[in-house]
Amino acid sequence: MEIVRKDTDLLIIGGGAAGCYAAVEAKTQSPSLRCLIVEKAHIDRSGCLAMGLNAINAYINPGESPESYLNYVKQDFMGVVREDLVLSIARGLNDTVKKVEEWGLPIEKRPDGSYKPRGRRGVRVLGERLKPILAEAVRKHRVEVLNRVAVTNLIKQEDRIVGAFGLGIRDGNLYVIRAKALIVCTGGASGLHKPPNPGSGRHLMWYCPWNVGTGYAIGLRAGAEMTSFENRFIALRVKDVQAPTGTLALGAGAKQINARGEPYLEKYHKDSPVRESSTYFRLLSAVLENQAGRGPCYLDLSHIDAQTLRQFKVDLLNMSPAMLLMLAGREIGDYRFEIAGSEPYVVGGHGEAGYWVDVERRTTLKGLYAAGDVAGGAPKKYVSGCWVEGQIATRSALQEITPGSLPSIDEDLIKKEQSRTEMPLKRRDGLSPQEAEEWLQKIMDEYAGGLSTRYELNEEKLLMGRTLLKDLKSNVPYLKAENYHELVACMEVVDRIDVARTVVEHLLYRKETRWPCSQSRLDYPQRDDAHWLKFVNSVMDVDTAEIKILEKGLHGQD
Amino acid sequence: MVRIDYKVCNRCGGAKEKRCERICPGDLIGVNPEDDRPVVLYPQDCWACTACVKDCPVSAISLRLPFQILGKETSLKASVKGRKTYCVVEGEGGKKEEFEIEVIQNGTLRRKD
Ligand SMILES: Cc1cc2nc3c(=O)[nH]c(=O)nc-3n(C[C@H](O)[C@H](O)[C@H](O)COP(=O)(O)OP(=O)(O)OC[C@H]3O[C@@H](n4cnc5c(N)ncnc54)[C@H](O)[C@@H]3O)c2cc1C
Ligand code: SF4
Ligand code: SF4
Repeated sequence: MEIVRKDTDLLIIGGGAAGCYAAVEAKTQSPSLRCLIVEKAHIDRSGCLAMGLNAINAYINPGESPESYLNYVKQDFMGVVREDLVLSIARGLNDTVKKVEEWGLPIEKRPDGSYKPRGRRGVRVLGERLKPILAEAVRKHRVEVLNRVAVTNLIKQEDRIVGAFGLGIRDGNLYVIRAKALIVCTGGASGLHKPPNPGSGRHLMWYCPWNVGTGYAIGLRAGAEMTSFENRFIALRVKDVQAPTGTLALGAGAKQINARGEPYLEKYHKDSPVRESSTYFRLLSAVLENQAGRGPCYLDLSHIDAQTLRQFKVDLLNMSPAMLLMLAGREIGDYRFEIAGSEPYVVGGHGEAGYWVDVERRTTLKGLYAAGDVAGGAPKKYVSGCWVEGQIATRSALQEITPGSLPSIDEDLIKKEQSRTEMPLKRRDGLSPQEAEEWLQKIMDEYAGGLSTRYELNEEKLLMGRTLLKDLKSNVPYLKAENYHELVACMEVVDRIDVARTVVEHLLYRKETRWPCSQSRLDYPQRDDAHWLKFVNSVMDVDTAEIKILEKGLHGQD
Repeated sequence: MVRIDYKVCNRCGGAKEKRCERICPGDLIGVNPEDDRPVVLYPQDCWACTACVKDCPVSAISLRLPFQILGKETSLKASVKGRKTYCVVEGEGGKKEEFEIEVIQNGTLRRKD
């Protein structure tokens, strides 16, 4: 393992939606600035956007306003959101979408030239190549990109983040990168819980399987404050292929029905204590129908006509190619698809788990900013909200970058990270990353509300989960890798363990049920606004790795 | 899961890094140094994202679902030319459906290696 040193002004960790937008913004504001993206895959098709998109889910359509957007998000998330963050996103949505349209994204138009809405807060796009379009904008703006380097830790000196370590996936080298400011944009975390399918189907998941929560883990290990890890995101999707069930399918005239052929949503909408929250109740109602013996639930497309079906397929081609394989060769009339909830994810773009940031997207660590799915407190930001956060984070980070030299990095820190990251290659016998991942997923599935327990939680099980995770963590030194690909997989599982431990501590702490399925406490089944209209935050001790919980008020106060 | 048709694959004209190897977000594809062939090293880890399917310059790669999911063979092939993405979905018994969508406006992307 060789050491490769690099210096830059602004380091962006992760070249996905937020990272690419942030980098272009930096070079637009300050063309002479050195800006480097470090990306574990290849920016042309990395992260959540690898398949493409057919809608931008957050947009202020005519008749809506940033305030109405905030109201919606706040209601949907049962009152616990950071209003300052959500509003700052809402105010920037339309400009960033316009920018990406200029870069080449086709957006469907109405005859008068305005964007074609999709639902109240979305617009329809032909986004199959959205990721290559963002990558091209990055290249055109002369941003430096290091592909196939996975960041493994932040470099912290004297209370400031001064750079990051990365592992070269192709060359096995340790990259030591110094920077004047950093933005973490690594997305959320999948693979904490057991996925719905084993073996050859294990990665047919909704969230990107290689966004493993590294951004959270490196922050936790450096002492950053995190928020709302108990707010897990569970996607209600076409079973196994994860195609969307929302406005897209409903736009194609699909109904959600149970095994008896009855539409069931209305029933829960009327009776459910959570009726003010549509996203949660849609998932909850499918879970409850199954529990009552009326499962499975279906997306019923049997009345679709040929033209609508064709449009539906084009929409799928733009974002959910696997679903086209389900539809292949089927006759019209035979169109009923089982729907189910996914395993839980930790993701700040659909849900609200992530770094605790201020409105400038500063984390609690000096020199470090966060944007996109990795940043917390502002759910339902989706792809366009990630762009806005990338823009805000860059603008604030630029203020901090002044001429002058970079600090020298303590060689002991480098040696420590080198020995940590190369250890699995040196072991001849031990725990394979796959085995460790399965162990983690089993614990989380059984004791921290996975699919097999219908997401349900209680104190005793969570305490068992805590103990088992501790045991798993103590086995990290036995991880073994045969090659660089496996070495990165070892680092990924280490990161997932730290994220999972944080999730369990958060779930234990919130003694109510605020977000059904996402956080259903059987021992505290009611929502308790008198005590819990607040944030649960956490900080990991940098020496002992113990997780400490903090409470924060709705407006961020202690 | 993806399948590489070695009768069609041209090893990317002998390029050192193959396009499929370069693009897969999960780093699942490698090259056998003995015969320069691309190999899906970790087929069970495929996300079915079709990045490799679309990026192969000669459309040698197709996507199918694991049998535990669909229980039959259907496949998807695609190619990317200029502003357009082309796709062929093949059902059981060879029934094909074709798509052509324009996914870039104002200008084309240059391909960058
Ligand atoms: C299947 C799916 C469908 C979606 N559909 C829609 C939709 O229709 N409309 C909508 O508005 N939103 C949609 N979203 C949400 C949207 O795609 C995400 O919110 C957005 O892409 C998140 O941006 P991000 O930059 O935070 O993460 P990403 O775009 O995922 O980027 C994270 C990047 O960080 C890289 N990375 C990770 N770890 C490391 C590391 N250790 N070192 C270096 N790099 C690293 C990853 O490879 C990736 O490139 C969808 C998401 C998914 C998963
Ligand atoms: S479909 Fe996607 S995940 Fe699967 S091998 Fe191809 S690029 Fe990799
Ligand atoms: S991209 Fe296509 S042609 Fe190139 S090596 Fe891969 S399969 Fe062969």
